[in-house]
Amino acid sequence: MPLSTSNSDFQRRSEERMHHTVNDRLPIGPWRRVWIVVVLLTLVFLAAWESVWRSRGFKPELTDDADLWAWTRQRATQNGTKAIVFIGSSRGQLDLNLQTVEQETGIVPVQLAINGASPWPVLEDLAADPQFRGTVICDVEERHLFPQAPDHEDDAVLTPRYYVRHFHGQNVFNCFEFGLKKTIEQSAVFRVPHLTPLSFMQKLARKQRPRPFYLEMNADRSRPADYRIVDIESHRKFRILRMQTLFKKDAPPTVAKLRQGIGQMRPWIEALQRRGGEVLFVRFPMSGQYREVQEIQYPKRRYWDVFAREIGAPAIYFSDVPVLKAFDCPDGSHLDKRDTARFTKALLSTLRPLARSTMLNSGILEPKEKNYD
Amino acid sequence: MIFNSLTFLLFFAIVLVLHNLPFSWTIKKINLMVASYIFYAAWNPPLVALLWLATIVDWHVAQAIVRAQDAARKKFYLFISLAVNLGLLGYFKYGGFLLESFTAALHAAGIEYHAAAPDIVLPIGISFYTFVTLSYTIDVYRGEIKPSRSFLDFALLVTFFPHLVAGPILRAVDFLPQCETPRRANRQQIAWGLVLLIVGLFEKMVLADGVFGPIADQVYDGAQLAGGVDAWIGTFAFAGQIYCDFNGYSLAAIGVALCLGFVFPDNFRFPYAAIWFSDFWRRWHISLSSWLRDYLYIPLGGNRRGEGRTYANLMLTMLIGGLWHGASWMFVLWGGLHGFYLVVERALRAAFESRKPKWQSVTQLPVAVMSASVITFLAVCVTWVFFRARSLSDAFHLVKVMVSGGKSQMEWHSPDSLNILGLTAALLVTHWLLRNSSLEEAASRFPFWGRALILVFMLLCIAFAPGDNRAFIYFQF
Repeated sequence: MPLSTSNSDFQRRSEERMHHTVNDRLPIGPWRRVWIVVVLLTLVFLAAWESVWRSRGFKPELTDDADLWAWTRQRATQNGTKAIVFIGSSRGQLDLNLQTVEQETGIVPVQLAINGASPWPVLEDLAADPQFRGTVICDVEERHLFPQAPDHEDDAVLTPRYYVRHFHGQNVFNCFEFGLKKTIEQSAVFRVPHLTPLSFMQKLARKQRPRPFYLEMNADRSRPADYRIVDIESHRKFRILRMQTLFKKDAPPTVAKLRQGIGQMRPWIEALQRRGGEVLFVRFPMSGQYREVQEIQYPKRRYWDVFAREIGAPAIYFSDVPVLKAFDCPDGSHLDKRDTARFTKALLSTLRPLARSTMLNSGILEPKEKNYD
Repeated sequence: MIFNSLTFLLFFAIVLVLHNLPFSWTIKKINLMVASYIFYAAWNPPLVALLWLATIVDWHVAQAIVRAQDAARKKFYLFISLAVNLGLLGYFKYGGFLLESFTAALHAAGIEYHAAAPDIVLPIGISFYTFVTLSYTIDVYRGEIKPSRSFLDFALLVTFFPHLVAGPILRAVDFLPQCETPRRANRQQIAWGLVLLIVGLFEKMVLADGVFGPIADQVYDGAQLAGGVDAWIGTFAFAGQIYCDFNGYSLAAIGVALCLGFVFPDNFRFPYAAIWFSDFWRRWHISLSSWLRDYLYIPLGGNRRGEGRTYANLMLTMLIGGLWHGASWMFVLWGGLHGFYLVVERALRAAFESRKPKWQSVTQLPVAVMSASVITFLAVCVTWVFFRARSLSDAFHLVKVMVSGGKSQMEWHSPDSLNILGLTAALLVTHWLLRNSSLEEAASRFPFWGRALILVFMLLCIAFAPGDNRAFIYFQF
């Protein structure tokens, strides 16, 4: 039986269907010349843009996104019992000096804090990871003491659940893509988001000139802040106003709601403890009016103290520890990069006696027998 | 792997080099097929097995149909193909949806039933490649084509990476003849193929993801209820986003294939310049609308069985077309609205055609034609609300405030609103100016330096675009 596709009917029908395709309309012209000019002009523009900003002190910068987080999260699993992991929100990224942690403990720490996010989805994920048996230091602010957000918010790309899902969806191709992206971002200033021609023009329209951003983004996900280059008064006012607006929208939750959250978290903490890991909760420093507004919305005695008593893991509040209380936050909520090494040392020395394992000292020893309940 | 990724650029460069090395045509086709499997495996390697299943079943079924001596046997083999392809689609794409709908129906009937949540991964592009394999078997069954004599050619038809995950939905008749003789793009094809790739990436990365998408997300995913201005701006933004996203993908796919010497059919022809809805569907996702016409609407009887049946066929075709997009009643509603528009258009056309010639000439006036185009665009925008909204109640709220107004977060004159309005107007004007033309004709009118400057602008915008690497919207279908 002839099984051929080259019969005349087939060809005819094919020609009928395809007679108005791109191939019949190809624009003629000096395309070679066009492409040479395109490549040259594009390269010249990018090179000029790059050299102008480099000469003004700008440096390449990584994007703090779900790809970088997933890549970092992988290290928490790989490190297994030798992992020190920081979770929480921006304070973890801005206030901690990871090199100091490494010097103090001999372990390269893993920074999994997510700007503005609740730590619970990340804690739940670490608790469910059988290979992870390390120490979790969780920066937790008052508004994140309560049960997780409704499900529909999970789809937003900036939620911690999205980050967790993104991590679990990683494969060799994603890792390769991230490697390429990271290489370019680490070597090209023109990829810095606030240095694009569009943001440059927007700044010009507001009669501003681009200046180096006060936050650096490091490959280890730490983000030291240099408040010397910020108009600190207006920055602080902006943060307070933003927080007040946020608080106005929602009434403070009840203690019952807090206990509901604690009930949700305890199984994760216990799962980690059963495997030899542990969780230590820390309320990082805050200062000035920012702290006053926080205290009005979330009185420490009403919320934090209940949380610390019932969570089943060590929980310290910065103002209860003199060495932590001494730090001042220029914007009310985060430390300046010049204070991070000192603060990190102080934090580790505060946590060491409370920790179950001696991982925060130097090297790994057998877990100490301790009952947190 | 997505076109707007660095991995794809590297992958494509390697494929292009391999394709231009002095290998035999068979080796080149094997290269393309292996590359296509790697392209697909970048999402979820085990799901390549589904591609193999669809390929092997339809290859054998088509051969068996031709060998079958009687009509009953041919029908039986066709049934196998339909069962396997639609079964795969049904299980992977609609399994969870059917279970949810069944549970909801039981609850409505007062029966308490809780099914375990099915943990089904949706294989990317499954709706596209099952339609490719289905059309092949149906064409063979109808005797419109003979089955391919080369398994390699058929496997390449199913898996060829430029069209694999989001179309254009290829037909055997379009592609298999191209596999018979060695394909190597000439300079002009490569030059224009790369232009299409860049225009596609510009539409996707700069316009869809950078400009339109964030505003559409802000309105449709926002925690606060939208007002009238929000609803219109958000919907215009989504209309721009979905067009730039999907047309961007289609242009990139056509361009990539052209660089390899293969020609794909058009998938879009400036749809926002459509005059009424039948014209819209001749311009929007052409490979799907022609598929539905040839394999669903016409077999149902098309317009050959009286007006009532024609309306029913139109509605059914559009409802199924809606469901094809996703396992949700929102897509069914979206398809239903388009079906309703088509029915109304057909009824009005019939009524107007019987009127006096004087009235008909009024409808041909430029101002009437342009008004019709704007009305079509606005009506299509209303359907996008159902396509994009998170829930039925959100969609109805948005449609309600689009008509009645309501307190908005955005102002008409805010920078975001003006951006979206300006770009939407620019999109409409461009579509209107090119409605009887093509991108190629437009490019031909530009001098050498004009083409170069536009391309430099697009390349720089792509280079500066945030590296979010958002997937194309149509991948989920």
